[in-house]
Amino acid sequence: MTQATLFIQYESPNPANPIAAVIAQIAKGCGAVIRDKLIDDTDIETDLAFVNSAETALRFIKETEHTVIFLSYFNKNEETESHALASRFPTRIKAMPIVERTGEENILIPLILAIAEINKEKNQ
Amino acid sequence: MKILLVDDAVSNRRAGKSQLTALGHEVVVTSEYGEARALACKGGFDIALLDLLMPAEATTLGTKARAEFLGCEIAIGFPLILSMAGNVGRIAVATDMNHHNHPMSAAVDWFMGVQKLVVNGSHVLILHAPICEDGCKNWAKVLDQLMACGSFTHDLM
Repeated sequence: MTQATLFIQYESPNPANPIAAVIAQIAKGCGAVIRDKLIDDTDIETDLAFVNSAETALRFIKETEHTVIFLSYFNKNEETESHALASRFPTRIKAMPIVERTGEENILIPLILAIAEINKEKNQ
Repeated sequence: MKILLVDDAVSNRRAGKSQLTALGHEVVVTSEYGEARALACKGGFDIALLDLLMPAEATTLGTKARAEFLGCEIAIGFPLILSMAGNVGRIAVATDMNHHNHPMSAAVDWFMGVQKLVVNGSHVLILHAPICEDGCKNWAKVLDQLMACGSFTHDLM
């Protein structure tokens, strides 16, 4: 079975980077393979990338042709900037809160759906 | 020759690296104009081949400006020329944007046929990029045209 591939670059002041570890565990549990490079040595891009910085998302846009980037944010400033950037690359960047301030929505739900969709397409 | 190639499109960077390496040149590619400037300032490049329109980087932008500009295409190729001039011997800015679709690409028309620009001692060429059959920029032809820039009479700086 061919699986969706995901590269995670979640910047954290905590060297253990527990949020990145959780995202990886959830993604793996939902059928993704975690890669340690965005682009491998044969120029194959990961299907998905998960980041928490608009600058990183923009860099990934330029480094890849097809990778869909999940851009997570926490605060209001990051929200405005992330959605503005996503609006400029609507097919490539999905911007969502890591945890919604008032509701229950979070970026992991569309990430899980994307993994499922890619796995379905790859194995039809 | 040692060539610095700057373009935000993967396909154009791959094409350029492949075309120019096949001609025997050493090619350093980057998609980041801030990085490109830093590399050029360090020195060691004979040639810089630049895209005209690239997405705005964060650099020193404040919060509001980041929301407004980050990722918007800006004509960074022109200030890059001024920034690199004097550090790189020959510099070309080549755009594949149709001149009907962007005002700065339309401005490139002003330089069509001008092969006598010297900026701070660097030979400069500004042009619409020749395109390969696969739709990528033909950086080898851009290099040919840049090297053909012969008699330089206009010193802009």
